[in-house]
Amino acid sequence: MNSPLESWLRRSVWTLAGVALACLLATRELPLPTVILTLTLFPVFLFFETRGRLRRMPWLETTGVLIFFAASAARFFVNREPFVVVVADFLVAFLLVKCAFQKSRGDLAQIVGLSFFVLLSASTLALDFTYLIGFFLYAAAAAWTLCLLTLTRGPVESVAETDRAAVLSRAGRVAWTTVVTVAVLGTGVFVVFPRLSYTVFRGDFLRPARQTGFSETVSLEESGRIFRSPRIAMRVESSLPVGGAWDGKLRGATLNHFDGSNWSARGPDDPPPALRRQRGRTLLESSFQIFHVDRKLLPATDRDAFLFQTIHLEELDTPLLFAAPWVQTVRLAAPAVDIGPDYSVSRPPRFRGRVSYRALSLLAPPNLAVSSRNRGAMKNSAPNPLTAVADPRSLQLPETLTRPDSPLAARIRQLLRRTVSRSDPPDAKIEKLTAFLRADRRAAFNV
Amino acid sequence: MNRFLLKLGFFPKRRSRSLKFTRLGWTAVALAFAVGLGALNTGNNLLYLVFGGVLGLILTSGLASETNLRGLDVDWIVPSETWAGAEARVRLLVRNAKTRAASLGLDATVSWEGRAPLSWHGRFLAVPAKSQRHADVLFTPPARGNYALNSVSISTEFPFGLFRKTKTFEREGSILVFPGLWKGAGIPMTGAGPEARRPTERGEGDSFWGVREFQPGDSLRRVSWKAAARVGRLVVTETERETADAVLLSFDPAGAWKSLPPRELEDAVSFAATLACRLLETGAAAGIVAAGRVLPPEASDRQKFRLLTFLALYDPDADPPWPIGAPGTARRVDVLSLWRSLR
Repeated sequence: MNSPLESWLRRSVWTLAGVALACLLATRELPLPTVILTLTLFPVFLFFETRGRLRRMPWLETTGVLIFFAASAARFFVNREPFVVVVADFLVAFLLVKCAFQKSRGDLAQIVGLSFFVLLSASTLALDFTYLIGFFLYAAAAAWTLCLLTLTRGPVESVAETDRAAVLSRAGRVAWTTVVTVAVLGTGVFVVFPRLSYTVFRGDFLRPARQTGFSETVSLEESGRIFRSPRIAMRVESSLPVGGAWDGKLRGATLNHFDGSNWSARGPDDPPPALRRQRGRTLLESSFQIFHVDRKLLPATDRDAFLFQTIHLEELDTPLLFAAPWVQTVRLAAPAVDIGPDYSVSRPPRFRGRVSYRALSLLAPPNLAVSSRNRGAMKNSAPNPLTAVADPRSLQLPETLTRPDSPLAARIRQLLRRTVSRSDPPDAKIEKLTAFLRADRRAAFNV
Repeated sequence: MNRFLLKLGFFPKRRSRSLKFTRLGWTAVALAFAVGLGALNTGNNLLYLVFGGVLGLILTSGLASETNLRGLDVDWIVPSETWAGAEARVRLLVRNAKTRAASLGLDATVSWEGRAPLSWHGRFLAVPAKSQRHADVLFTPPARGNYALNSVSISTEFPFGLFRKTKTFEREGSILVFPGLWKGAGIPMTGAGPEARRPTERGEGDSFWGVREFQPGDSLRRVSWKAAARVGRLVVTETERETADAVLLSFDPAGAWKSLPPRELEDAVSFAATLACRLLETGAAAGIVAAGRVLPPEASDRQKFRLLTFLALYDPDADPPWPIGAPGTARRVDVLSLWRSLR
């Protein structure tokens, strides 16, 4: 591959791969090791390529790709890592492996194809408009590269000077035409189709048009924040608890104020807490302690009776965060969380959009003091490692759910009417509700 | 209805454009569908954007390939003599009449229809605006005969290789392929070739015979002044008298030729062509008699063309276009007998 056209093709394929990788890195969703490896290896391979020092070793190339494939499959099936992130990692690794060796024309075509899938992967992870810049750059680079790929299909020994100018001029014009066409069509589809598809295509054939409640079948990370949807989508990744399957339920309630160290209930007229800004970014991952559990005091058999979950939520009509019933610690990129009187956790009122958080939960309910009388009794009893002091108000319905404008309020009230009576004491209500949710799993998921 | 619209000129008589998806093209279409379905299923706006991008790429490909083929014309320069089974070179020309846009990645194809299909294929990387480019193509005609122009087309996968668009030109034409030269044993020219030539003698002609001393009555124009200066006396050059042996290649009786299997017929025709060429090369006059019709012997390039044309189109079932005439005094050579004796 020594003709000028083939040399241009090689350079443009590198550019295309670079643009696709930049698109993916700009999503800021890739793990740090992947980012570091990409930013290090890609320029190194490019340097060796320009010096002609790359060697062709097909067996090593194939072995490398197979190893990365196996590792990705293990990450997805064993570690239960998010599919889109695993796929993105694998594509990056595949592309870097292809870049690491001497390339034939077939390899260059393969890199072009891989770069498209990298761009596709970036589209499933991107959350902001930086993707658009990369997308249009990619369109121009892809058009240019495909032009050269087509022109070098036959034997090309030498190109006359006039022909070279003609090729450059024409291919450049085609690239710009492509960008304009892609911009027009892409923008048209981008703006119009989601609106049309919402009612036209999302019927019974593909998926119910309106779905309430929670579902474990929706892949939340595969879609960005686009437009308001009535659907509540959620994914929960749970570690297997020690000693058998966990049949816990999802629950939540709210406190409404966190002052940085303590949680408290505030009145409806109190101003909502402002988001704190640090280093120019609004959100920082914080660790919120919900229960104070002294593990050292736990019996040996109960020390591992915790459930670790990574949960992804977005487009929720409710601020509630969902985890196992008894959340001990929540880590998420938010300045604050609201903790309900019953230790349920929710997002701050103004905090919307995608949420990804990790929760460490207790599998068994803590030994709560449910009333002032019990609180007095508890003071006299021996210290219990799972004891947490709760206000009697925690046994009341969370404030956010009782508000008339809360979308869940009606459903909660309906559920309560089915399970408890007004005359029941608060603790009996809780017991009945918990028993009902344990018995009827569908109700638990459709709250 | 269609015929009516055709008369009105709504439909062209023959489609001048055709489109065929390449493997990459089908892949792009499948990808577009997959991404579109994925976008519908997930509601991810950026997937919609990629979907639109792939559609834009396909649309641009269609527009650019159309521009690429517009204003093009194909022509060719063929050699004066083309022999069956012998490699020949043809020059394909592609002209771009567009004022601004160059045409890239062109494949020109000219195909002929005869006893066997024949086609020329040339690749052109770039034809700048208002210019032409050529490509020399080697080809080997498979059999003798007249080849009628079947199709002239120019196709391209530019810009993205998603599909191959072909523009077909309305043309008419033909090429004549002479029979292949005989590959059998050497042809003895007894009674037909140099051996049959009479001994040379002095006389009027162009070939040099010798020099002799000037004699009274010799024309001064025949004096060789250089030789005279060298020997010190007047000498004149003498020329060889031009004599032509007239041979009539006989293709009679036609029944014997008709009974030949096709392969042997072709071999015999090749033999006849080779014999005719040898005769003409050695200065003999050659003619043909077939079905009682005579092409009088003649020693000229034009006669060679006539003979080879006859042999290229020879069919024992058809009469030659010449009038019935007497064979004259020319020696008659039975081509079939001679061929059989040399096989």
